[in-house]
Amino acid sequence: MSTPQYDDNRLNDLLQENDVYIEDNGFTERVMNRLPPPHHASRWRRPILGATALLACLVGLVLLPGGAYLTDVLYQAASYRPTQSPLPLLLPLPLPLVHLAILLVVVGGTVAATIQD
Amino acid sequence: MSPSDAELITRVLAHDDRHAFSTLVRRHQSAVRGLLRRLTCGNESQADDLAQETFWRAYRGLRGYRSGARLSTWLHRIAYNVFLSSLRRRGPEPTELDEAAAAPSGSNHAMLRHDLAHALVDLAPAERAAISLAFGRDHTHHEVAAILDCPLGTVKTHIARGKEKLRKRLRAWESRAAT
Repeated sequence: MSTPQYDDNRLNDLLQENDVYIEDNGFTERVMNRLPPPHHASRWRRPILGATALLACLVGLVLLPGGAYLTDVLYQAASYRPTQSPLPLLLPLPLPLVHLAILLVVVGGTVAATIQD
Repeated sequence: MSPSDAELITRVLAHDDRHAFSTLVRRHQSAVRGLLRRLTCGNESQADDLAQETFWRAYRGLRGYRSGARLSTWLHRIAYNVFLSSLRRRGPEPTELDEAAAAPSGSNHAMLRHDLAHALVDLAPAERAAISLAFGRDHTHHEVAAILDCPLGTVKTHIARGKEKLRKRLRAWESRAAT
C-alpha cells in the first residue's frame, strides 16, 4: 500500500481530487427514454371543451329553474316600455336564490373545466 | 450563452419541453452519478440505475422544486433519498470493493486514491454522503444538512467522524505496508 502522511490537508486534497467528471456516454438518452411520453393536447381539445361548456350553459338555462328565472327577466326586459316605471325591471320577480345557485354551479363548473385544460 | 437552470425548469413546466429537461440532465448527470457511485461504494451499474431513478423523480416532482435552493442541492437530496430507499430494499451493501476493477495503476498517487476508495467503504452511509458532498461537490455545510435532512451539527459530526475513520484506516494500511 502507499505510504504518504495522512494529515488533514492531505486528506482534504485527496477527497477533493476524488471528484472527477463522469462522461455522459448515453446516460441522458436513457433517462429521457424512461420518461412518460409527452402530453400533446389536441388543437381541437379547447374548442370542443368550450363548445361543450356553452351547450351545457344553454341546456342549464332551458332546463333548470334558475334558467327559467333568467329567461323571465330577459323577457320582461325585452317587453319593457319607456313609459312604464323602471322598478319592475330592477326587481322583476321574487329572487329564487337556490335556483340561481344551481345555474351558477353549472355555468361555473363548465367554464372552470375549460380553463383548467 | 447557455440558459440557466431556472430558465430550463420554466420551459419544462410551461411546455413539457423535453429538450430543456435533457439539457438539465446532461448538466447535472456527472455530479449525481458521482455522488451515487461513492454512496454505492463504486458500484457503477447500481449507481447509474439510482441516478436514472433520481432524474425520473426530479421530472415528476419538478413543480415542487423551490427556486431558493440550488438545483444541484435539490437533485442531490433526491439522489440520497433514492439511495436510502434502495438500501432498505436491498439490505446491507457490500463491504469490499472489486479489487480488479479498482486496481491502481502503480503510481504512488494512484495507490493513494485506491486506498481512499477502499477506506470510504468502511464509513456509514451518512458519513460517506456528508464527506462526498462537502468535498468536491461544492456544497456548503448548510446545503449538506439540507440534502441529508439533518441538523448542521450532525453534518459536522459526520464529517469529523468520517475523516477520523479514514485517517485511522489509511494509517493502518500505511504501517502494514511499511513492515
